[in-house]
Amino acid sequence: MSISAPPPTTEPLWLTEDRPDAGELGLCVHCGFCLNACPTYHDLGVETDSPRGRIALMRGLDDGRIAWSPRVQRHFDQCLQCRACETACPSKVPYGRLMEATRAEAFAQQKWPRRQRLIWRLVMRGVFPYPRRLRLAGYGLKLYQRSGLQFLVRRSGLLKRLAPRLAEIDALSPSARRPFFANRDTAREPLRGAVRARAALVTGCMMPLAFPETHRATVRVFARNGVAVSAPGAQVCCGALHAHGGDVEAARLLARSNIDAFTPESDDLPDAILINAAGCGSHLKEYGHLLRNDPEYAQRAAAFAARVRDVHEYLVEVGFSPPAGRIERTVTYQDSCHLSHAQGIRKPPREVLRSIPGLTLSEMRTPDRCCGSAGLYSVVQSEISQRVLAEKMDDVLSTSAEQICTANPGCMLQLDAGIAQYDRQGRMMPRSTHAIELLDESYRLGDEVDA
Amino acid sequence: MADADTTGVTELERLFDHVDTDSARLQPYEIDGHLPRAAARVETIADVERVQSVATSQEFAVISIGGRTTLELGMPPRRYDLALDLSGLNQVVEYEPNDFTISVQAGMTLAALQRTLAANGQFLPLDHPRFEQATVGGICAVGRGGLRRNALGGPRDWLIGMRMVKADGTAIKGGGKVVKNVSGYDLPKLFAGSLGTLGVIAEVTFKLRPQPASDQVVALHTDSFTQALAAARAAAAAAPFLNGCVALSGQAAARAASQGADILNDRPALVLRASGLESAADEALASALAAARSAGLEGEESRSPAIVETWQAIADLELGTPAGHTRLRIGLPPGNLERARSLIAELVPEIGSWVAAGDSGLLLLETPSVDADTVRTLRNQLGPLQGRLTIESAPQELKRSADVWGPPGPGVRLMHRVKEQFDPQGILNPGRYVDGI
Amino acid sequence: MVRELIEAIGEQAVVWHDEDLLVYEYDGTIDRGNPDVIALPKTTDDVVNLIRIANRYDAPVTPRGAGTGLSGGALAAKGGVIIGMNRMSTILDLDVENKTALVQPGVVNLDLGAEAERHGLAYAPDPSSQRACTIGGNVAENAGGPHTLAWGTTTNHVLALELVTADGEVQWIGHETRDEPGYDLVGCVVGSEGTVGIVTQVLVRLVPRPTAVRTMLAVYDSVRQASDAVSAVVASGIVPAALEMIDKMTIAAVEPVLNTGFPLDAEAVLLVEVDGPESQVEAEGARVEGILNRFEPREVRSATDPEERETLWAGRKGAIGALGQIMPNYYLLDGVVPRTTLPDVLDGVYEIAERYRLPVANMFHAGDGNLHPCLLFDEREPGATERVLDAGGEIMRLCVDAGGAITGEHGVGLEKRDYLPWIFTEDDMDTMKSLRAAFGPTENFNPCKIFPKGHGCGEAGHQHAQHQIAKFGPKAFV
Repeated sequence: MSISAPPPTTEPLWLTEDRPDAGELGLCVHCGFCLNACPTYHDLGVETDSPRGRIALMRGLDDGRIAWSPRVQRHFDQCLQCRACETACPSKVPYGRLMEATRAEAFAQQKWPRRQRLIWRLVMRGVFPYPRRLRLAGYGLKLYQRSGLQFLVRRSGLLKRLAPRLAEIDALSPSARRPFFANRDTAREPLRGAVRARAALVTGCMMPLAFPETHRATVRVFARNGVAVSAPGAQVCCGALHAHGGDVEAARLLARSNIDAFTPESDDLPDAILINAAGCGSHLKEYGHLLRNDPEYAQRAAAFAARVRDVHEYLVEVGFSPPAGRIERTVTYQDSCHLSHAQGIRKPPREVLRSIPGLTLSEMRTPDRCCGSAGLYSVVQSEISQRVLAEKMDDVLSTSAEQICTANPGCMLQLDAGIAQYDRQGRMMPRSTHAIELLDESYRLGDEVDA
Repeated sequence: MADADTTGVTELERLFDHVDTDSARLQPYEIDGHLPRAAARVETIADVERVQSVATSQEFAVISIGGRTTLELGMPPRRYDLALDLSGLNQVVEYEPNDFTISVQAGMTLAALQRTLAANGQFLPLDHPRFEQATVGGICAVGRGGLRRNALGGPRDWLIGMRMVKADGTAIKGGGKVVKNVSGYDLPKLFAGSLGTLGVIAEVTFKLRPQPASDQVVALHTDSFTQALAAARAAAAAAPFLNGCVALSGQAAARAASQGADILNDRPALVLRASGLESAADEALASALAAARSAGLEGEESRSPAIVETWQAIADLELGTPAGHTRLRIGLPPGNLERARSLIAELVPEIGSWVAAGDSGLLLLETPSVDADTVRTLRNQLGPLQGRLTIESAPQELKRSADVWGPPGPGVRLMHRVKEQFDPQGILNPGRYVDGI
Repeated sequence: MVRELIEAIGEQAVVWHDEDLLVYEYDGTIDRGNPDVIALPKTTDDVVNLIRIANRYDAPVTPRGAGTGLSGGALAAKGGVIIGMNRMSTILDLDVENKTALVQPGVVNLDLGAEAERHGLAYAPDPSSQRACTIGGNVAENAGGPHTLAWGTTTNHVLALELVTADGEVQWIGHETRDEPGYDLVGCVVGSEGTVGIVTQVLVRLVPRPTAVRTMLAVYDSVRQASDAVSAVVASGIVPAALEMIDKMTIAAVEPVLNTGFPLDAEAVLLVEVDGPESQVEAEGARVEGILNRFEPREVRSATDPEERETLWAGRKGAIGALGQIMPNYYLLDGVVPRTTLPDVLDGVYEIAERYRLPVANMFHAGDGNLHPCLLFDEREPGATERVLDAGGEIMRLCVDAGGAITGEHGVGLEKRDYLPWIFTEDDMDTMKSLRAAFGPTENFNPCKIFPKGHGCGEAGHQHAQHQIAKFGPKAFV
């Protein structure tokens, strides 16, 4: 028996200032409350793949008690970053931040295999930061899907045989939906009544291509409720995926571009910076932390972050008029991790859903358990992701829901793939939806009845 | 050996004033036709220690005896040298009402204990047949819940501490006097239900409960036990917090009536008890009665004005089987009660009295006509229903030909090893418990 | 040995690299133990095989659930094999009519509760760690929780068990309605802290869910008032479902993170819950409220909806973890005293903490007299750990002298084993050890737990306790 850990060694381990904060690591009292909340602990059943275990690994690295081997790195890589552990944690250990910091160090120290690093550079640094390249990729995808090539490829099972990993990715790939959403589209929606507030919409990288309707619905819903929504043209990808992956350099670059786009150095800030994707939202709220050491941007980043509002959050904050159109449908609401665990927003989406006449909310047993999407996780850690998804679909199918409603594009894609795979009776609608779309639909149905 | 025995008895006589060797005065200690050579009436724990150390050195077979209400339980003793009469060890050791705990010596009767507690508006939630004679030590040694065990549990659930004397005379203890305690192994639980085969229970500490504001007992009469049982099941399902839900056959009801159960007569009946705050008891009773009625029980309900007496007369049905009759006790999940009843009725031709706890799956029956083969068949058929059958009272021949405890369960190997550790000489109540322990 | 373990239960089920051993060296306490290998069985047969292999190598075996324990019970004090039961986590059967559930030991307490709830039933023991702790661990420690005041602890809710004994044999003990004649072996195994075998299946009793519940919060300006109110509620004859006290230091930790609505400047709050049928809850609630009001509370209010109730309980159940906000380390005690001595003992606890210059937070099951003083410190400060252990020893002694015990629900484990002689004689302990011996060759089974001394268990803690014993005398309630 020993009362405390052996003394630390002095070898410098962390190379950057993005390292996990020792004080924050010290917050963990290893009570273990997080274990059962963690999807990977659930799935893998070993504490090395639990939040408490991963924190112990970070501490072990920090103390020099273990070496940063590929095995240790694998445990970090296997984390979904769903942050369910943060909800469970009574000590409020900022696990998400610690994991991002660890990944930032891993990225800086090149702990990934070479090939993975290459692909990252190509895609995450080469495409995502550039809206035009993204759009081009979107057209490419559309062509692949529309030409029937995807259909053929899927039918033939060729991909599955040749590259099973790629086949899974194919299953998860968003179906590009034309017309893509353009930032200038926001200007087209007429406002109802007096302007109560002005909001700027973060349109993001994937949403305009894969979920343009969600954006259109967002603009319409807020316009109806007296909030003028604009979408700055110069905005770029929010950088959440980059930060989660540890590429803080790219994340900071993107953050600075967005700050410039949304809050050009004037006092004329929008009342809210709106976002309808949970993963992006939680990251945008972290801009202050991300740029805390940037003398030029730190203050602006904090001001930016303070204005960020998830659409559900903001709707409830400013108040919205009750919709009148009936939607006779039972839905189940999947709490996107980065909305519930990271931003603590659970009630507002449900409030929105409950306001819709005819709509029934049938809750899952664990609506806030991750679906396994987790940004790029579904691609990089597809095996675990698939098992997490299977469990989620089990929960979904035990409700009486006909449709899944959620709050993040990654979750929607993952759940759609889940429906295709697990809903053998075809009970569910093949596409999951966003609460804002349902609200929009109800408003419009109400208008039709009036007309 | 005979010499040694005489020496031992002499030594005991030298140690105590209260050692009897006179056969007439040993009669009350008779067990299944066996008389001890001597009886020692102890008054302190130190007495018990001395008796046991003599017994160990002389290899005396010792049977601890309290109120002598359940001596019929178990197999006939393999040996029986000394009756250790604990009824004189009957003082309150410590009672702080506001702690809701009490420590008493093992020989105190349940009735005396309850009277002490009642003066402070408290009680020990155990009922036991013949509570005027039954001692708390004996109740713990037998260690099982009665007809109200669904609501009350058994002695194990109220015991928080115990002092015992081991076979060799060493005084030990387990637990403590606080209501929640996980310090060390739970020896009180081990001794509860050990039937005096591991050591002598000398002092017990219980946690207590306040007496309920309202306590009500109601009977509904019917034409058959089968109907009463079905109604009991329905009532238990409708009102999970009942404090008693017992179905009686006509004969059982008649016996209880003759013992003071004012609301019973010779008709089969369902008896319900509800306790707690006024409104809560009313509510529980109302829903139980409604369920019983929809299960087919008609007629007036009779409410007992003398709850304690009425219930005691019902509890007393657990004992007092007429001579020549056999009493079987079957415990099983309550959901299987009705199936068990019809299965038994088919196999046993003449059943005099039935008593069943509808909320906890306890079934008692008395019959003049059952033999070892029938018991074996019953056990086989009750097995799949998770039923355990013990013969509680029976003519000598049946006790000898059929194991009263039934074939030992899977844990018996461990039980023998426990016995071996606690009583290596095998001098405590030898041969009377499970598998010859 | 590792190779054999892998051959027996598969490569995925045995971990033994540095980083694996690192994450299995702690539980919820400040103690540590260093295992040599961790095995994660999926079936009873796996467990049997593991135990047999460990026996062949004379390796210590330490069972582990979720590692949330608070007495070092799941630590490999002497190295050897940790058998992690978390992968055996299936609810095998739930019998609604007879109100029982058959579960594997790795089932999480709250998961069983949720499943029972779907059938209108409940699993009563609710330790604060119930979100994560497992039924197997609960069985080992005889876990309690706030709601055991009315319903009793784990031992009152376990009916039967499948046990793999130290010699690798599988035994079913107990019976669904406790009607198996013979010794109450289940009663012996529950609370034996993994020292007699490994439980591989558990048959538990479920209870009907109360139809109504009322949770009250009473705010007091002194701990004395609050503890007097507790005594009065207990003496009134009402048995609340739960009766909890939370003091100022705890509120300071909990409130900023959980927003429970406990006033930051209150000295103590009581959380009182009554449940049962509607009318009973109404009547009892009113009476309890009356009693609480007699002790000049600043405020007594009731949770108006399930969500508010949830929040209040989150404040209580998350209290211990939240203390990490104030200081990096805590030492959580688990004394239990007769309820009438509670006010005096609490005064004593604050006095001791002050004397040792240690912040102390109290959040505990007041209705049971089960105290959880939590001493806060920073292990990096030289001498702090020793000071904390000294103060802890003195508080435990205080409880023993008041007629109490050294642990109410956390177990003796590694942490308190040297204090066991404060409440038990050598004869008492020898008897307990003889019971342990009945379960087979148990010396290597979770060694260094419960009983003082023991070969190769390290002497640091032992010496410390000796020092304490020298200071306060060897015996109190013996």
